[in-house]
Amino acid sequence: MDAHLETLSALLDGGPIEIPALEAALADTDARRGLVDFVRLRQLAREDIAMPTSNFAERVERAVGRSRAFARLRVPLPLAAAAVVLALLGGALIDMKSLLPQREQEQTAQVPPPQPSRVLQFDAPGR
Amino acid sequence: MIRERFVPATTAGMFERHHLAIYRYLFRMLGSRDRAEEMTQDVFVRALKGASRYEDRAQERAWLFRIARNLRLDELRRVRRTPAIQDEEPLQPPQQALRASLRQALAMLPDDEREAFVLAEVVGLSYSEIADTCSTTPAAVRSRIYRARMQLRAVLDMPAAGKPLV
Repeated sequence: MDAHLETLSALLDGGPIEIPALEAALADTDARRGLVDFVRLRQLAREDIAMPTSNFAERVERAVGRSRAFARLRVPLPLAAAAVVLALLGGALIDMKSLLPQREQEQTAQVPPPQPSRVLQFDAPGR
Repeated sequence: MIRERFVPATTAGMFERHHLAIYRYLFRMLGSRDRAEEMTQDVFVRALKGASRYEDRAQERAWLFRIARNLRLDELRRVRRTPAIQDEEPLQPPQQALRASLRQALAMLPDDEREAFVLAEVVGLSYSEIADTCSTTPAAVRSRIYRARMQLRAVLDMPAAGKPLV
């Protein structure tokens, strides 16, 4: 009985069935009654049409529109990555330039004074 | 730019073609009109975001249902709630009451059986489409729908009064 009903359930759905199984199912009175019930259930389910509220389509259109606008604003990832790298390089360059005079001063301080070429001595009278 | 060319036309077309089916699936699974509408909206917003990566137009419907299912399962994991009894319209005379009973009986089914039944009977997907959406096999889908039908048959024997099954 269960197998017969399952076969007729699949028949109703257009699913794959074997002919001998179908013949046996259709020969079973209870299974035929079950098939009628399945059809009634289908009718009930399909008659019970649920509809969204009248402004539903407009609301979805607005939501999709917002999402679409957001999508347009989005910058592709490689472009964003390139911008970040450029900003970092630019920042580093500026940083190096601002440090340059200070470094030159430091270098100057480290150079030893030149050796004297002549030594002048003055003798004070009366010493 | 692929995104610019692709999105405006296809999102609108996709919405027209599939929003009612997605909404009905979510409504039957969540049991709430408001949540079904919010989540249907989320499905199309997410579809828009993934549209530039998606190429297989032939599988568009299954793709959207997978998004809807993932969103639903995410919410299920987050709130761990069973579907509410459908909040649609007040009970009416016999046929309406019978439909209400069917909704209530559906809400009592295990999630995988309810989902297979709704996708087949309410949305009209094939076994293979349901299997694709639910990441399972067509044989498992056939079995789930059969089990759901067997449990839902009880609704037909009830006096059509819209009384809860439990």
